[in-house]
Amino acid sequence: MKDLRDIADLRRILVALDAGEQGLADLEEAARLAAGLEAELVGLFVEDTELLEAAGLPVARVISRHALGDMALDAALMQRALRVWAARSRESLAAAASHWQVQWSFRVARGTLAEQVLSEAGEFDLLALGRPGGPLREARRRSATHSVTEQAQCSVLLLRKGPLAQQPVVVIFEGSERALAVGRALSRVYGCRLVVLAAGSDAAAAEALEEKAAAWLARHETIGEVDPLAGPEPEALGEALRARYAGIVVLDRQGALTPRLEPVLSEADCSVLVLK
Amino acid sequence: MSPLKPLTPDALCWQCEPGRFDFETTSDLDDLTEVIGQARAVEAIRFAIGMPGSGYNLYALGPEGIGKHTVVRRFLEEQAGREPAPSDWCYVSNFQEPRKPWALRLPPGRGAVFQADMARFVQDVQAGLQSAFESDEYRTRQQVIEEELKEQREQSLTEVEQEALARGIALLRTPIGFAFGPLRDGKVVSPEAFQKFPEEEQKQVQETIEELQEKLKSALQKAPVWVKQARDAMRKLNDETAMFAVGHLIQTLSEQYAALPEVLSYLDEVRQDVIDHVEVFVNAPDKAADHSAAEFENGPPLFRRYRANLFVDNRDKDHAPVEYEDDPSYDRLIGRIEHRAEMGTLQTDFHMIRPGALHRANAGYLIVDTRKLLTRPLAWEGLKRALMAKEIRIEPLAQMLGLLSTVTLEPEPIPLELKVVLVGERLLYYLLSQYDPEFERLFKVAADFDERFERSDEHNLMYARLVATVARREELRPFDREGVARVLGHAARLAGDAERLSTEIERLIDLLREADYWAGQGGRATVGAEEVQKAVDSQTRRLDRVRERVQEEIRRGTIVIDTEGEVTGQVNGLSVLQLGGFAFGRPSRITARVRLGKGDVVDIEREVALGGPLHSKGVLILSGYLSAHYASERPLSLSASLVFEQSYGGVDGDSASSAELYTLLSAIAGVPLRQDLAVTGSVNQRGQVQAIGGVNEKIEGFFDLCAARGLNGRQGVMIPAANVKHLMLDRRVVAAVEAGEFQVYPVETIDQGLELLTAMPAGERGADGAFPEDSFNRLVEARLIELAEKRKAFGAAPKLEEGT
Repeated sequence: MKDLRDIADLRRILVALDAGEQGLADLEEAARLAAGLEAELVGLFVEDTELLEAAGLPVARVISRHALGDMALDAALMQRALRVWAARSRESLAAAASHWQVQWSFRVARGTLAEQVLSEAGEFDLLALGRPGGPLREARRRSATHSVTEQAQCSVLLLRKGPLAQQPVVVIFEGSERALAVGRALSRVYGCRLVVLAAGSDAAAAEALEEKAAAWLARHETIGEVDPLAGPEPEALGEALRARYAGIVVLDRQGALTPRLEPVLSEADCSVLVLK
Repeated sequence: MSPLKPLTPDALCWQCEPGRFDFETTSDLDDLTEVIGQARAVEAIRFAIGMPGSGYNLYALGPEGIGKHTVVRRFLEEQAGREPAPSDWCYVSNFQEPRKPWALRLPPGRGAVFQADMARFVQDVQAGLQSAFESDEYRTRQQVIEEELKEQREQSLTEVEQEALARGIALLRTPIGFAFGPLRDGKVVSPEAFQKFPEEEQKQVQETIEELQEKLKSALQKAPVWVKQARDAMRKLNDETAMFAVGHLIQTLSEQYAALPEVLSYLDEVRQDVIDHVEVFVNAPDKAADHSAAEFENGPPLFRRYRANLFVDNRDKDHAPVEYEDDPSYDRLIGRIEHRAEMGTLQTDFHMIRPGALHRANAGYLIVDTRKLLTRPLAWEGLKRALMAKEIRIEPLAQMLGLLSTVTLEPEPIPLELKVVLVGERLLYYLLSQYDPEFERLFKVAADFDERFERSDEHNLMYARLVATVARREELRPFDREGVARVLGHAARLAGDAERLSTEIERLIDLLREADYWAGQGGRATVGAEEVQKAVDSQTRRLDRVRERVQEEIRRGTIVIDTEGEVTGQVNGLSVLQLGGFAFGRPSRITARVRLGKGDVVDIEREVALGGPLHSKGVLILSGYLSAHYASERPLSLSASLVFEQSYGGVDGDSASSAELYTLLSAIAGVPLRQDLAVTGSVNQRGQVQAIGGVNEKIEGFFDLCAARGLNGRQGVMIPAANVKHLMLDRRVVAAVEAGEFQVYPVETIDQGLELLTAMPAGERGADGAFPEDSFNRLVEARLIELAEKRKAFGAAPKLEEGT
């Protein structure tokens, strides 16, 4: 029997960070994930050139949440701030990797997040990206995510804010054994339930997939809940994920439904792992 | 003067006549319920117990072994049995000032119940809070609050950001805060590109950004308000949830303790504290896993504060306590605050407050040995302070001394209402009275225990009942009437008085036990006189090694004592050596030498600092006697030296002063003294012989020596007549006197003693003021006149010129 690790085939993970608070939390999740998949973890901190340029504007000022008034901003100050943030990110990665006993390394690059991630993607099996807040960043990240998801030749994990543990791992199963293997690994590392949504184009197909998934779980001595989901519309899928309090969704891009599900997944309040 | 007659045998020892008892054995006698021979002390004890008011504490004074503890304890227990059990006390957390724990008073037995109730409360409140705060309902309400805050914050930012986007400005989130930058084609304009903007446009961008900055600031400034509102909402939610979880538990307890306002007040504090700290309980559940040593005893630190330290537990008592503190150190009296070493530091809390004897005896009686109390550092001060303040304030010894500056607990003082009984020797009582001004304010009643009491038929029978009581209590064989009579005889000997009996109960009990032992060895069913005598002899035998050595060395001639013949300026004196509880008499040779001098009598013992003050006083009295008796009208012109021969230890007491006077007079008159007599008795300036102590031991000491050398019928001892009533001599001496082999002479005056020692008439001054011819006193006076004349002659002789 083929080893599950081989089936999952996610040996090297790149976690991409920029200067957002979410990045540090993403590191912890990525380290935990790497531990579950027995993968190597590489942190990539991207110094956003746009921030550096904005800081150089004569009108640039910075306003803090935690201090009154504003402060003049310049490129040098921003550069120093980015360096500090990179150092913090590295320390956090080291601590998380040490805790989860994961092999790790750390890199710093300058540019846009999407460009830098894509330029590094060839070396990795999985790219992990955080999810920013705010309309502009959301739009940009969505665009970056989209381009990364579209262009990267490897799997992509979109991390949401907050820890993944405790909420179920949901696998959208269209026949990919790999999705099941990854879902199983994640449910083990997070100690949470595994839910398989057997998503067929119609009831019969969903039922067949349900049987197939159940058999796979039994074969691998895995406890999990398998539910059929016939010809799911995006809204129905969204409802199914909410109903199951999904913490992370795993799906294989090879599946026929995946392109239709993207809008739902990008809106859902959970992490998404798209396997390639 | 008629010749002095020796005492008859019946005057030498009181023999208890068994025939005066109408019982066969002590089995026929009832237990003695009264206290024998201590009427004064008993009266004082009753008074102290019954007398209300502070300061009426009791000091039981008297020698060791006369049953002070037993008597005091008996009366206290009788009284305590009529008084109700005292309150229980618990120390509980003072939530406002944790270092000053509260003391809660509860009815006897309720303390343990309260402690168990609070322990159960802790369990219930843990479960209740856990259940309430893990419920879906609580979580949902919590998430609603969090979500609302999140939405408010995001929305305010989003509004600014959207407006900025609409006006071609980007809101950028940087590592150090928010910044705005102009957008062109969806990208932030670079500084170079911006410089190329027309000046008007640059200015417009700048104004727009400034406007947006103000809006952003305004939006951000709202955030703390929203956070506070959210926190308040969370607090309210937590309070309501906690109130629900705790309220009914407290309500149940309040109903149980409705009659105890202090407890109700405390329970209210508990309720409020749980509510005040509910966030800690909810947000830091892992603290429960802080496995400190304290936790194993009382649970996690957060909940430990609600448990009660049952400090004084009287659940098993149905009357007031009578406590005896065997080790009255400061801590053991006042209580202490223990500490536990944790991670290199000392930790404590109110659970580690431990009670002292005062707490246990509170509302009852406490017995303490004075000597032990005074030898424990600051224990006496601590006891006095508590009695004066009428409260027990637990304060570490080091803090009391000012040596402790670290923060420690200051438990709320507990009101003190008890009687303290100090038991100790007389000397300590008198010293405390003399030197401690607070002593008499705090110990107003003295129970003075007597060492002896008057012998009478009634008391003899009471003593027999005492023997019966001890025999039964100690599970000894019954004593027959002869045995009891012998015990009484020994009690009189212990008292050192034929008309008194000793109250040394401990020695009596020892004697009874040992007599019972010998009866057992002899296979006797009852204890008779023979066994009692064997016990007495055995006790003596075990202790008289030194006495034997002294006698042996006298017999061997190492210590020189004559027991026959006559010698001028030499007499046999008698002293008593006290070694622990054993005393024996030792004969000593006393010698005197005289020469022409200024009238001083030199006490050699004093000169070499071997004589005590009483001995010196006795010697100085001799000068007074000589001056008044023989040389009232001319100067006393001699120098005399007196010495206890072969005495290498200290000598004190004036019991040898008569012997010294006989020796001195013999030396002056040149008349030899009998060496087959030994002399004891003190003398006054008028020549009267006065009573001394240890008369029995002294007589027996000389008798033993004479008996060892062979009694010749002339040997004997001269004792003060006032000591005759104290004679309780050993049977061997009595038997020798009965056989005419030994004599005991009661002497009242020096003249009587001189006649016995010299076989000469002492002589009294006649109408002409002169002593009769051939009298001893005539010889003394003549010699003194001679010495005075010589001295006068020396004084009249012309001085020789220098150099001639």
